[in-house]
Amino acid sequence: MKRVVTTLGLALLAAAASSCRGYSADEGDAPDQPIAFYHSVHAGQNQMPCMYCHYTADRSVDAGIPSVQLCVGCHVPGSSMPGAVASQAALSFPTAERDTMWNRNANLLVDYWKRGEAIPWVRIHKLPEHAKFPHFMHVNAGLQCQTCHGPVQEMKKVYQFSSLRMGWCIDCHRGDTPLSAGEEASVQQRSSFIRRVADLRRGGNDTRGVPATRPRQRATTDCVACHY
Amino acid sequence: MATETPTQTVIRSSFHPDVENYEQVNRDADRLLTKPGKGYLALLGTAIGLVLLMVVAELHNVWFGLGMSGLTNPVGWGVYITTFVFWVGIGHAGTLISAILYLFRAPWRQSIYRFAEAMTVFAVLTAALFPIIHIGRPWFFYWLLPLPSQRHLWPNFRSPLLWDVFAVTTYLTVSSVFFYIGLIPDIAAARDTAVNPMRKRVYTILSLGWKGTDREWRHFTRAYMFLAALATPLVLSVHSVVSWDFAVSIVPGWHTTIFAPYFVAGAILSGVAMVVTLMVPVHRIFGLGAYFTPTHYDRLAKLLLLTSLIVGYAYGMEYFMAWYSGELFERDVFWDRVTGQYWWGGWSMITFNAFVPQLLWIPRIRRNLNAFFLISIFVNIGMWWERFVIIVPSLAHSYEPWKFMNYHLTWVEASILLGSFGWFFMWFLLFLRYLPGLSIAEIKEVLPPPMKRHDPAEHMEQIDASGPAGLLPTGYFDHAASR
Amino acid sequence: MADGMKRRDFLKVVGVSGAGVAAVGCSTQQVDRLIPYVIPPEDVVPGTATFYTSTCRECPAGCGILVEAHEGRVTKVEGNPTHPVSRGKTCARGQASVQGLYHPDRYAGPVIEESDVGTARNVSWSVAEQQVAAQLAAARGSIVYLSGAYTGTMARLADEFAAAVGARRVTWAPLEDTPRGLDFSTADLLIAFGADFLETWGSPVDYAHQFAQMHAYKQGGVRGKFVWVGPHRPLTGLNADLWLSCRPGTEAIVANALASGDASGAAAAGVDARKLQTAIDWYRGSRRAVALGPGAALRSNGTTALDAAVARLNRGGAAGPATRPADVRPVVELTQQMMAGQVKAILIDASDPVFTLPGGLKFAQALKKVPVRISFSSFPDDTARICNFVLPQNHFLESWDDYAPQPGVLDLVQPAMRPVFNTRQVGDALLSIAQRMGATLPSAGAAKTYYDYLVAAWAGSAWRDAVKRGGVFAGGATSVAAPAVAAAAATPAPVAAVPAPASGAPTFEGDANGYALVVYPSYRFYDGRTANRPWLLELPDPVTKVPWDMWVEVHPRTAQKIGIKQGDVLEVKSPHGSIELPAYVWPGVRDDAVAIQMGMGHEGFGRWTEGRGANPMRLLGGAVDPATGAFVTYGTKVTLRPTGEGAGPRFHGLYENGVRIQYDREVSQAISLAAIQGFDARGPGLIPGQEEKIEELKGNGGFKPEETTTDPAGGYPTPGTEYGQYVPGETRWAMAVDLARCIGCGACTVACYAENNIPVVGPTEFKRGRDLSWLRIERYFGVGRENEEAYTDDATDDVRFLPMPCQHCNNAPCEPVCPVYAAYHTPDGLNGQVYNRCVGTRYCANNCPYKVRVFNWFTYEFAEPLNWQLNPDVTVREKGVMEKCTFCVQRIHEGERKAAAEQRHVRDGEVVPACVQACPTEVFVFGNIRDPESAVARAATTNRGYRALQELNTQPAVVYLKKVTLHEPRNSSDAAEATAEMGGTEHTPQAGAQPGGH
Repeated sequence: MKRVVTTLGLALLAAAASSCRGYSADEGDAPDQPIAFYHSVHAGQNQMPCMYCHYTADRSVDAGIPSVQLCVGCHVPGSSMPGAVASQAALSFPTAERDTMWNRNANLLVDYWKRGEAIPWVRIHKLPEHAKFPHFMHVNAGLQCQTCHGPVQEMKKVYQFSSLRMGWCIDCHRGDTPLSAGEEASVQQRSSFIRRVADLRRGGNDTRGVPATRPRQRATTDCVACHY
Repeated sequence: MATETPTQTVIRSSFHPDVENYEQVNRDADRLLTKPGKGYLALLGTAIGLVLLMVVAELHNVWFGLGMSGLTNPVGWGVYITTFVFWVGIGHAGTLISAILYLFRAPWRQSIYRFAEAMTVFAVLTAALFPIIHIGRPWFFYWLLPLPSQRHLWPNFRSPLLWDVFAVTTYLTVSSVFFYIGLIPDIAAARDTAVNPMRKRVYTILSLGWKGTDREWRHFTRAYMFLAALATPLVLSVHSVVSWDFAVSIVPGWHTTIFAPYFVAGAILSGVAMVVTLMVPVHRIFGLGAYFTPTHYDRLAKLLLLTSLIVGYAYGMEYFMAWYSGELFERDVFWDRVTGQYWWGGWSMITFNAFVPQLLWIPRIRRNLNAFFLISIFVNIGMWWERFVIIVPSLAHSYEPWKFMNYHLTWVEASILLGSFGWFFMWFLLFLRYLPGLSIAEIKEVLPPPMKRHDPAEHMEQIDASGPAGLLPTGYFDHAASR
Repeated sequence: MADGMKRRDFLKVVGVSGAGVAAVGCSTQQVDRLIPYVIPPEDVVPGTATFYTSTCRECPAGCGILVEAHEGRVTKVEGNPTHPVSRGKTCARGQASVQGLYHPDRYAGPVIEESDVGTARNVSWSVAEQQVAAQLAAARGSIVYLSGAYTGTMARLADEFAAAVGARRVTWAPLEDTPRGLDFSTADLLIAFGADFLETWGSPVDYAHQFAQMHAYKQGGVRGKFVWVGPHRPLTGLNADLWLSCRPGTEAIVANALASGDASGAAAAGVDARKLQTAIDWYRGSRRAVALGPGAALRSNGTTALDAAVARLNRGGAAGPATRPADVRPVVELTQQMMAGQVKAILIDASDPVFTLPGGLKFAQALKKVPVRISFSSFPDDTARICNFVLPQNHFLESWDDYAPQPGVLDLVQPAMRPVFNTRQVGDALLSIAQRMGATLPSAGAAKTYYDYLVAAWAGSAWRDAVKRGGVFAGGATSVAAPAVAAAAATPAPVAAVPAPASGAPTFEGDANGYALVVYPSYRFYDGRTANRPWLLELPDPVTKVPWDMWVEVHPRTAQKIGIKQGDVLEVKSPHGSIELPAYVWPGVRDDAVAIQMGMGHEGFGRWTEGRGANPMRLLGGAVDPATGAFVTYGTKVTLRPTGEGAGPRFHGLYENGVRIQYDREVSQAISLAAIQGFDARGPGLIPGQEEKIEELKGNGGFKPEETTTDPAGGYPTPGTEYGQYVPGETRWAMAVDLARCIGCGACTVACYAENNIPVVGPTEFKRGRDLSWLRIERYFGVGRENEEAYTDDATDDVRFLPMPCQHCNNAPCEPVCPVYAAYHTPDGLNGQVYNRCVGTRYCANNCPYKVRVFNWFTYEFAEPLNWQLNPDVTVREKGVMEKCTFCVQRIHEGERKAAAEQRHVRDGEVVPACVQACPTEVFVFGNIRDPESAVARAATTNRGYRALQELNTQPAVVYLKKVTLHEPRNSSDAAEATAEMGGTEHTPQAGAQPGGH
């Protein structure tokens, strides 16, 4: 009978666990994208700043996905000039006729532009909708994109670098995850949480009450800060 | 010297005058384990059918949501929690009889405690289903268990519901271990008589190679006593914790200090009633009159009477406090219990639990099997209503007038309620057929041992005198009977 | 801006907002796509809401609104703070307008009904317009364009179109002819003759605000009085201090009695003499008295006398120019001509005439006699269903237009998103039809679309500025030169004060000893045009608290006489027809009258409305008042017959939400004006009457209840209740609710539904008590123990409205009982609820004394495309999860993040929850109560402050301010008794403050 109980229990746990898998592409997997876009070329070799394309990362919840217009802006010069006709857009450099992998993909881009279609990128980093993550708060606190997204500038295919699980968030908020010296410095200076606690201390208040204020605490661990 | 034939003074236990000797006990115990008849199969079939019904109903809850039940905004708990408390309560009598009476050396427990204990285990097993059934997202039930997780989250140890989880699981573990240990010698006996090879193998495994040596017996009795000592406090603790689910809240009609003792008494009342409800049919069907004698029923009746008086007092006290406190909300709730939508529930609880058992003052009634059986049924019903009446009307008429709203049970809840009985009886019936329902070893303890010596009485006295009584298994001997 | 609008593309955007929202808990594996823009609109920041100024067109009030859009997806409507009419507020209908936009039963595109085949066919716009053009060309000369009350540019276009295609224009705009732009905010006495100005009459949001101005209690200020005259009490009437319930048709007598100060007419009018005397005394003592009415429900065939008498009552400056109801004789004539087959084609852009016109006219029959029937309705309503051409028009949130609700205000209607369905706005359709007919419109010029036409009409004058501000307002901050079109603005046309030729006293047709029928407009459904919005159906009627249903109001004596009880179905029979409705028994209607609300009983109009309730217009004959030319709505007597059909099985039939009396619970408290003035004279800071109790408790060695102080510093945290990690100096979010301002309209409730993705559960589940409203408005007639109390004649004299959100207790009973910390206390004092952690034990709800926690019994549907409205900032909950009011924590976070980015603290009033934002009477004050300077702290520490069920020591963050009554509030708590004696000792109650025989 105890066996029955345990099997029941195990079955339950298994069911629960399985019902709780994968909000997103699992850690480390790198799906094929409609266009073989190399971050390693753009962010790596060409040294483009992330926020040239992900243009709202410092002012909005979403980091933003570059519009097709932004892509062709570089790849098809003059394409967004007044009077330019999308349907006549053509790849101009280095030499359109050479059949290279680069050209093939760049031409895919141009086709999207000609058809006036959006590029259906496969989403890699996805949090469940019940967890709210404001990009701008983290960017403004001085965190590097790579800290969470990994060495994107070296990735040909982008993969999910971090687990994006709750414990992973908490560890960093609690200050258990090491950050680069520069980041740590700016976080200590800019984190709204740290500033709030400092204010309270300055006001001569007893801050032991602030939830989970650990010595290295960087940000709040209040549940409702992310779940609402 | 002239040899004289030994005087054949036949000596009988005062508890089981109709039991001649050890062989008869073995025979009767084995008789329970023989091939089942049609009636038995029919009963088992019904029980399993009800279990399937419960499964179907529960699937509705999981698939569509708890809206399939009749629960509503002010009345968040209904039949599920009622039935949970009901079964936890049933569980108590078993441990009371097997453990507490053991420690108190109550010799009349020997023949009935096995049933009682089995009942306990199965009742708690049934109750354990309901915390899972009644929550909105059962697939996350494991969040109630203190398991380490990557989320760095732990359950809230201030919540009575969490205390419940611990109380019930502890109780289930201890009572089932106690049950199993007690079974070992009897399983061994069954092993030795079993003919069916399959059975023999199973019993062999279960009996853990019991040979009945003196050494084994000494360890056995010690272990048994320690477990009894361990189980005893649980009888009180478990239902106290369950009662705190309510007492700790601020709901009028729940927020009462009397709850813990009140619930424990109620639990024993319902438990004893259930024991009788199970005993009488078994007695009748298997003709176990030799083991369930009027004495047993008499003692049980007295226990029932006592607890019924305590419960009755608690009822009175609740109403007195509601009136005496002058607390508006309290008064309204208690008034609603006996006049509101569920007035008949309220009255059946008071009548069946406090008044009907008073009939047992009359010896003729408490010795009459049919009457006693009937009364026990009444008490079972009454105790279910007690839990219901405590839970539902209190929620339906708590503080906020705008949300006075009552509760109507649906087919899903009804099926799950029935299914819980099916589940319980399924286990109990299987137990009857596959495990010794009579405690062979312990019944023998109260029988006079077969002696070559012509005056066993002296011998027994020597035994009684020798060795610390504490170490004896519950061996008793009525000298009066031997003269 | 305009260009950005054109380029905004909805479909390409959905992906960016993370494919909308998913359920709580674990979602299964799915391949998500990130869909970028092809060309990014410059005014959209992904993940951040964009607001567009526009104008609400659900009713003619013309409230300026801000439309919140996420990536080109409209999610919410809020008031435009700079707008003179709305002042940043809205009503329930306005809040629900987004459901009109996303309603799943809208026409997906043009529909043609071939009369020969008899089947509807979906066609393209070009086909539809081509055919319509052809038909009109054929019918030239006998075409009628039946429209609503167009103003501004649309009126001009309609005229030009009519002229060009040879059509006649007729206007039918039910209830829209009531005066707007009145000003009675400074009056100290208001006398309304059936003018439901808090619901539909004139400009409800504006008037509700003005009413609060003159009627609410202001420390040291004047607390105006309000007298209601009429045969029954709608929401507006329930807010009156005194109800003069006069015999139907004798309103003029009452008016004259008030004016002349001679109460002898009381007998004739059947008014309680003492009440009439009180009213006369008030009138005498008033500095500025304003009389409003008669309302749309009181239009008899003898209104002239009443009009004159009402006009005479104005004292110390009238509220505005006298207006006359619209003349509907053209509509009557039109119907006759149609019946006679003289109309070849008709274009209908009016509010569902088949439904809203009196049944006696038989408009439906007449319409069927017109060969070419063209409807511009965007819903399959009763009219569109029998039209053979449907050219569905845009919702106003998808349209360009201008609109002049009242003199001095010219609103601009601006689209906030691309059309959801394949619809066009009427202007575009007219232009293109005219063009296809080869007709030229004089001022159209090169205009292909109505947008061009509009811009041309504005001639650039103030266009860009108007788009920014939402219109052109006289006396606005930056007064702009109003464009030419503004000239054609003023509706309804003011008339000379000279009364029209006198007609006699009103007469009633039908059974002489029947009951006078009162057909009154609905606050939720207006004339029925908003009756298919799930939120409005789910919102219980503010007065009867009946959701999802319609009823006939009868007096308890009437009910006794015909031997029925609440919920029994009655057949209401007039000379013109009969309908069946369940009875609602209450003393808010006279025993010689019955009242029925407009707005339900549609035959079409979508899945939630079809066949629900019954349409009282069927009972009206369509007679016209000779003097004013208005339909007579108040001239019929009906007979009642119980059909024997009862309330039916459980969870069926009429359902009244909640209870009528408080059973001594005292959750909604009131205090007499005299008493509160007495306390205010003694200074702020204590709850009236509590100090004795404290002393007594101390005397008995009892504890001093912390909760008897609302001092913001005190009681937070309560000593000994310091779980939830409070830090001194931390923010403490709290709310003050002024019951003296609450009119019980429920705009806050609907705003809450819109902001927080609260699902609608439907009638049956609602009757089970499973509605998910986070903020409910409780309505109590009595405060005692006996239910009979709610059926006495004066039961409605002291009605209490109580908004009940989560109280966010410091000492919250729900928190310690949750086994998984789904309910817990945040450091800034919120009572947090973590949906995705909740396992659904429901223990928190059981333990909540306020019963404000609601449970997701199922996973509820948001019928496509209603789910487009979901707010991406709020998680959508799945089955088995507990939820409740969060003080709109998403907005709190938004404010805090903004402050953090600017390296400052959150300013007082910077965080505005949805309910606070919507409330037209400014009932709610929200902020940090730890800051003594904050508005909420100042409000909470007034003498009227109390906390609901404070004896439980739950330390709520919501502080209620007692309602202020002129007379002594009825069986109230010991607090009120104490105040009574104090009021007695220190202040003499003012003259005539004892109406209704209390």
